[in-house]
Amino acid sequence: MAKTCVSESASLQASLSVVGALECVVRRCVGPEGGSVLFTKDTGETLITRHGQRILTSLHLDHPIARMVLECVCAHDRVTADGSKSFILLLATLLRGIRDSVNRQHKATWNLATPRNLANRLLAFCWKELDDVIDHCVVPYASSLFLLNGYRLEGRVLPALVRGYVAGRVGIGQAEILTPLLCELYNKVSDEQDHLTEEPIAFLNSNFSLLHITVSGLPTGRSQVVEGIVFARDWSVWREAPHCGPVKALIVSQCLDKPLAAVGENVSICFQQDWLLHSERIMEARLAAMLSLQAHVVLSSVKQPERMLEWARENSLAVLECMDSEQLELLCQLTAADTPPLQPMLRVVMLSFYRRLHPGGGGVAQLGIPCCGFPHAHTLVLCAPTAGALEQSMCASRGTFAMLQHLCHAVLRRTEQTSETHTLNDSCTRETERDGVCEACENHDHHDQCHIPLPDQSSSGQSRGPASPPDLWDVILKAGGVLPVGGAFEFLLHHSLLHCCNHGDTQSRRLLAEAILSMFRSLHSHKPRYFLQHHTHFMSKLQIMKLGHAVRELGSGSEFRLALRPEGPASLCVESVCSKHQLVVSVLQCVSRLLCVGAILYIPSLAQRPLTTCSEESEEENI
Amino acid sequence: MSRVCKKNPSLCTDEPLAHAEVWQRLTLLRHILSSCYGPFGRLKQIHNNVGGSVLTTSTSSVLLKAITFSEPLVKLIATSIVNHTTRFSDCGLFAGIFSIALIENANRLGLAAGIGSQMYKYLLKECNRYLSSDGCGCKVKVDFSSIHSLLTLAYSVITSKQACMLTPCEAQYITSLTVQAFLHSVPCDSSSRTCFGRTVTILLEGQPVSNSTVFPGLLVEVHELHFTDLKKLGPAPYKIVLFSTSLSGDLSEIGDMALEIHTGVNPEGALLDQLLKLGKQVVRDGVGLFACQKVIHPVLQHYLEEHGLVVIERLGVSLMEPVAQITGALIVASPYSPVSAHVYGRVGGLSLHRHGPKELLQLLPFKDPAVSTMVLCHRNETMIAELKEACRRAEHVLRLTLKEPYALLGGGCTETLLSAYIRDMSESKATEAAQAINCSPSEFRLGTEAFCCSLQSVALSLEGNGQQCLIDLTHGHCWVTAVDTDSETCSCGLSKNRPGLEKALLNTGSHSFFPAAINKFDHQPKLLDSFTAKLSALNMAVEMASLVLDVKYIVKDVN
Repeated sequence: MAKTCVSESASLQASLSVVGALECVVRRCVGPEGGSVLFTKDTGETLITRHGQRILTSLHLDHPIARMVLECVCAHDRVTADGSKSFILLLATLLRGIRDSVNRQHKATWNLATPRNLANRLLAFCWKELDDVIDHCVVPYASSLFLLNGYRLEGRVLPALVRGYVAGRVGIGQAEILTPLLCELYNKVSDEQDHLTEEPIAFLNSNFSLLHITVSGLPTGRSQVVEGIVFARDWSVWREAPHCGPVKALIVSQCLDKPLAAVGENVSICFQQDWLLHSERIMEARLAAMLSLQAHVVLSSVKQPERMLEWARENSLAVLECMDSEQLELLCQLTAADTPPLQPMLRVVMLSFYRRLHPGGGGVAQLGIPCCGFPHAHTLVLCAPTAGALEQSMCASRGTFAMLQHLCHAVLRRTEQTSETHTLNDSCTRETERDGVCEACENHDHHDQCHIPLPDQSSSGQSRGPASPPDLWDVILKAGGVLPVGGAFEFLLHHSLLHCCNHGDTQSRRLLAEAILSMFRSLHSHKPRYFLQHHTHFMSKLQIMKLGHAVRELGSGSEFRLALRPEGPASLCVESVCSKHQLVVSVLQCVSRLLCVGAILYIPSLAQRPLTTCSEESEEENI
Repeated sequence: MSRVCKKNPSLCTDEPLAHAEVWQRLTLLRHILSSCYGPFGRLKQIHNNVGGSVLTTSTSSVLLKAITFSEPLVKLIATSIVNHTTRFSDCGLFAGIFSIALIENANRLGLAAGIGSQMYKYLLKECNRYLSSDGCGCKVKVDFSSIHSLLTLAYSVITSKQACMLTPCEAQYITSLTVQAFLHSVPCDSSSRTCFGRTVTILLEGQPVSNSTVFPGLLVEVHELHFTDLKKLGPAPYKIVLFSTSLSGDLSEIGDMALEIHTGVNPEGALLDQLLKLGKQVVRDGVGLFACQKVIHPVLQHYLEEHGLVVIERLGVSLMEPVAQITGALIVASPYSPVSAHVYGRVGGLSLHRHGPKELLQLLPFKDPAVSTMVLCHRNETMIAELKEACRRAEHVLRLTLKEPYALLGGGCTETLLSAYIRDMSESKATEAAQAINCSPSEFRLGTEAFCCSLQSVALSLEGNGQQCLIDLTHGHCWVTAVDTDSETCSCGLSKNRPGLEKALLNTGSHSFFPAAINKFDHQPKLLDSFTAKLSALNMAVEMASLVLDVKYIVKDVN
């Protein structure tokens, strides 16, 4: 039944045409100048997004090669939460590069360099040499770029990182509002302390779905960060707090008029005259026991009977029903809930306050959690005119923390690896000092500090005094974890691949270098001059840095712009090197997977068989 | 056996804004919205092709909920308007017209999507700054010491809803009722309570509008109650008990448990005994009014009436909270335990009203209640539905003023004034602003033009048949006049006509000028719009326009 559709030689062609089609969709929404894609369903749902992976998933791809690509993209996205659009673009240019080089070799010699062979060589290069190239050529450059004070990051590193990420995922207006909000959320959750660990980021990343609520129908500008945890439900019984200050709350996870016997079992009760009072009495006893705990708030994950609400009204308690159980778990975890003796179904927590918020019309419940350092729970209230736009901001916010976590994890792991004996701070300076170029930079840096006042945050990191501990983001900056957006990584990698002669075989290096550059070039196809200008500018500056002289000129910084968008350093965006590195690795893996495909067999299922063949078969069986 | 359905591939549209069909639909929606706008707005009738109810309206939220859209971009705009009106109850049409005009003008003047949304964002910021500054010419402070601005605000909302079919006199009357209901709903002691009271609306069809009234307290529908029953009660105040559970004596609320009933036991009888025990206690406690959300067993009902109590059953869940609020009674949820003394509430008085076919019992509050009942009368069903909507919206708009005590000039004057200000501002700041948002000065000028044209096209929607819209070149107010005649005042009523006041037709490229302030103490404005709602609508419209301009690809899932 199976029939062969794609022969071995044509597998490159097939992948090229599929990836080319995907590229057409994805290219529209790359970068800050890209647009978004609107999805509609027949059910009436609409979704606006620029999120690469979501776009690809929502296309309902049918072609087997496309599905393979999608699988690779999803795997990549799970790791970095970034770069799924660039993935498709790089994949397309790389495949084109392979096709061209195969064609060329066919003409010149009769040496058969098959696409599969090339892909395997590329993958081998990626395993053996790529780490080295990036560690020795890209990372030192990235760290010295900021150490030199060539770029002054006004403010902190974090806003620049977030801005770079968010700008590619939501519209300009939304990005401007989201960036400070996300930074505020991070700062408040980490309790305004400069942590040297990734804990706050990991906390936000894993709990983001519980730490935000969405409100449609309001302009995006009304979004805010509020203290505590917000539950998207209104109070069933609302009583104002009798005093300001900590209040006791009870958490109930079961309906109160259920008997204590095992759930699911049918309890048979003899119907007698006093039965009516019997079930009442069980509940009365429980309520009395609850009252003796002197709480002001009752939080329940299930719906409670009317009788219980009446009791709450009588005793001036606030009641919140049908709460999300995961949020409730988080609340217990953060407030160290304890179970009182003799009350197996109850848990007691202390809240710093409870309120009723009104984000546009309906009320929602806000519970404050007593602050004792990290993590200090805060909630992001996202507003947008429609559900589609809301979803977009929500996705971008969630992705931001995933991306940050990947970055922290990668950089901190690397700095630990390079020097196990030294402290974190020492290790990152040590790493930069390995390179000769950077030593010069460091010298210059000290020299520089005498007369140019640095922005406060970066200076605290640079003057390695014991009094000013560096913040996590400065460590990342120094370790070369980030580069300005807009081509810096692509230029650098291209350059170093071409000029590091002692690595790998020339052909695959050249192939990769060209693909990386042409991917970036294709992004700026509408203004080629911009691309060329920045490329030449970058090359000349890099040359100067390599030679090690005229460093003073570099230090002036004002004209040293590398593929910067012309807004200037005030709104400088940066992106992480490690996710770019991961991108290249993932794409190379994907290429070799695609080109390994020898043939595709279609096996039509029974349902899809034409009716006539079915009847013929049944006749044959009869015979 | 599971059935595997093959998924169909999605349909894609590249660059939807390059398609003429999309533009046609956007323009159609703008025409629909702008022809509904203002006091001369035309009504829309919606009916489907299989008969059924016919809807007549000019209210954006009602209209857009009733229409189904096929074009995703149009649907996106419609949803955002509906979302806006659920939050703010006003300025939905404004947001829609403005948003689509922004999209159309950006396209007409050839602005690239990225530049367009950046320009709009920049100009919006300027608008927000101007509107929130003290020197703003189109903002009026709401004066709570006099009723005039509240009346004007409510009047503007009610007269803009054409489908209410009110004569000017009736409109005035309904306006005053709305303001009265609003004033009833503001609690007197603002120290302890933070929430508003409420207004319950009762609709009466087939009566003249002039029969509408506002009552303090609550009106509850009752059957077969006579004045003599009330007389039996004696002097006010009366004790009231309020049940939320069914008192029908059924065994419905037991749950999933299996019941084992011994022979010789009568469950119904046992339950009824329990109910009568409850009745006895209530009578002993001297309760005058016995109210229940659900059904009361006839025997219990009879027993209570025999003892001179007034019984109200089937109150409905929506009336439970208001009744509890005005009487101070705690809602009792269980009939099986004795009623404790502190759950009783108090009613300040009872009186019986007859409105057409309905018999209504008025519960007067004992203390400060902030609850009132509005009885609205109109000739037929469609009109009364629209009138109810209009009154609800007007009351919401009035409530919004308590948060931000400002109002904006109505009748298109805010739009023309704002456009004059933006034009003047961008002329003076063109080069530095263009640099700040990274575009060329010519692009900046085009962006400003698109923004101001869109603002003025909202004002242009106000003109009716044979009228023209003008802007005066001193104050920047809007003048809607019949062709070749002059009107006394501008459409908001703040600016008086005088010889030598230069005027130009809207959207005909007049020179830029800074709108001069008017001494506001001379006149009171005739029309006012909600400040909060309009500001939010302005922001929302710009955001939606940017969002739509940003869409480069549409993927339609047809599974």
